[in-house]
Formats: sequence, structure tokens, C-alpha cells
Amino acid sequence: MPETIRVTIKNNSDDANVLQQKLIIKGYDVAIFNAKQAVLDGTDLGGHLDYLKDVDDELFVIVAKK
Amino acid sequence: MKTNSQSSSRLRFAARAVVLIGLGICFLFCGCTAKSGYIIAATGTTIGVELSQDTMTQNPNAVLGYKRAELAYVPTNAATAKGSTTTTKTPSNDTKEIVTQTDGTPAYRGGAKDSANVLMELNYTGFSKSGVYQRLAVGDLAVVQDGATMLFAKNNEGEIDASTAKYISLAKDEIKKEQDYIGQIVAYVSDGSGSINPETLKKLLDKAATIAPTKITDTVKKQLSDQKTSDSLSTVLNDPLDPAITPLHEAYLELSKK
Repeated sequence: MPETIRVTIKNNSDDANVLQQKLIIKGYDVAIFNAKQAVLDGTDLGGHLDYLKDVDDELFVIVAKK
Repeated sequence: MKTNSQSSSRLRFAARAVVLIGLGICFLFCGCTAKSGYIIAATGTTIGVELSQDTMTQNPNAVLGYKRAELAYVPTNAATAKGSTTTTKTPSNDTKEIVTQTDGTPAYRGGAKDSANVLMELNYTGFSKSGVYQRLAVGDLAVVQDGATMLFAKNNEGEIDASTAKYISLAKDEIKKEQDYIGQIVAYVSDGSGSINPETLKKLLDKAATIAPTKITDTVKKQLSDQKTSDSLSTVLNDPLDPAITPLHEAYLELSKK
């Protein structure tokens, strides 16, 4: 079981790629997914429910684990 | 002639089979085992390619082999760092072992925070498109220093493209800026003896929450408020709560003006 999983959503590929390298330097295994929309539901643990969509219909989901 | 032809055909088949088997004998293992007070990092690599002779053309055999073993004995501070070990249950009912250092603070991943640094690379481009590209880094500096960063950013052919190099450079600039910010934030909320002043930290978090309410949420505030020492606050801000650094630094700049 990974100790930490981080999920970040960026609206452009450059920012996503910089974050990917930053997380790799910090020891994470990182994957980037493209999508038109994203839903983040952390309500079971006291977080929020978020629906996210970018104006150009493309967002970048960075999933990192270590 | 028929017999020779059949024999030649069988030999060519055998040659192809040997090549495939030879390429298949690319055995690689890599291990990193933590023992009390040291880490053993070991790799073993065997690469072999062999071709048989065709009796019709009298072409010679070709044999290529490579074998190596590496062993790195890496001392750490695990033995001296360990004060006590307690076992707790997580919310998902898994067992979690918590190692505490002799000074009472939680040990970093079992206490082996400080280890010597090891960096190893093997890049073998072999027959046809076969090959092995192997990298190993052990230690806090070995995994983040420039050489290691570039090493692990390389693709399977051991090359790094220009855009990746640009992103790495930008990422390292961001990390450096964050480290500066963390130093200022922690110095501001520290009482000077390595402990956190909870009232100062609360004021800082409240101010940061007004600046960036979507980042300094209740759950983030709680996690940061739970940190009692400068070291643990630095660790949490460095990872995983680095998105909170910028609003905390803005809040620090505003509060320190007063």
C-alpha cells in the first residue's frame, strides 16, 4: 500500500509536466491523464465534492504515489 | 542434397531459436534491503547472445556475454535513531509500526533518515534492439541531486529530451523557492528551541485561510496544527502539503510587517 497518493488537476500541459518532474524528484511514481472533466469526492473523509471542467475542454490529472 | 537441405533448414531454425533464447536470458534483479543500521543494495545482471554456425555457408559462431554483480553496503543512522517502536491500528485496521527516535520525535521511515549516498548506472545496448538500462539511487541526496534527477528522467534508451530537461529545470527552481519559503515560515512560527509556538501558527493559518481559502482548508489547517516541532512542520510542508506553502508565505509576509 502506498504511503501517500497525490491527485492534482492542472489546466495546461506545461504546468502538469513541471509538477510531474517535481513529484518525481520528491520520490513519487507519477502518471498524467488527459480528460474533459473531473470529479473529486473527498466527502467521506471530511473533504469536498468538486466538479472541474476547463474552458478548452481539456484538463490534466496528475496522479502520484509513493 | 535433400538431407543437407533439411539439415541446413533445421540448423537455421536452431540458430534463430538460440538467438531468441540468448536474448531471453537477460536476467536482472535488483534489491534494496534495510537491515538494522545499514542498507544493502544489490544488483545482478546477465546478458547473453549466441549464434550457431550454418553448415552450408560455414559462417562462424558469434557469442556475446556480459555478467556483473554489484553490492553496496550503505550505513545509516537507523540503529542510533531508534528509541522505541510502537504498533498501532490504522482506520482501515491495518497494522502500522511507528518508530520513535531517542529524542522522542517520530523517526523518518523507520529511522534510517541519514544514509550514505549511492548512485549506479548500467546502460547496455546489445544485439538488435535488445538491451538493459538500469539505474539505482540510495540516500536522500542521491535521489534528488542533479545527476540523479537527470539519470531517472532518461528514457529506456538512456536519452533525455529537451522538453523534459526544461521541465526538470523549472521543477528544481520551484523546489528551491519552496525550500526558502519553508525556512522563513518555520522560523516565524518556531519558539527558537525547535518547538512550534501554537498561537503564532494558528494566527498564520487563519491569515493564510483568508488569502487562499481553497488551499488552507480545515483539513489542511488541522494537519499543520498537529505539527509540534520545526522539523516535523518542515517535513509536512515539503511533502505532501507543498501546495500550502505559497499562501502561508504570503500570510507570513503580511503578519511580519506588523
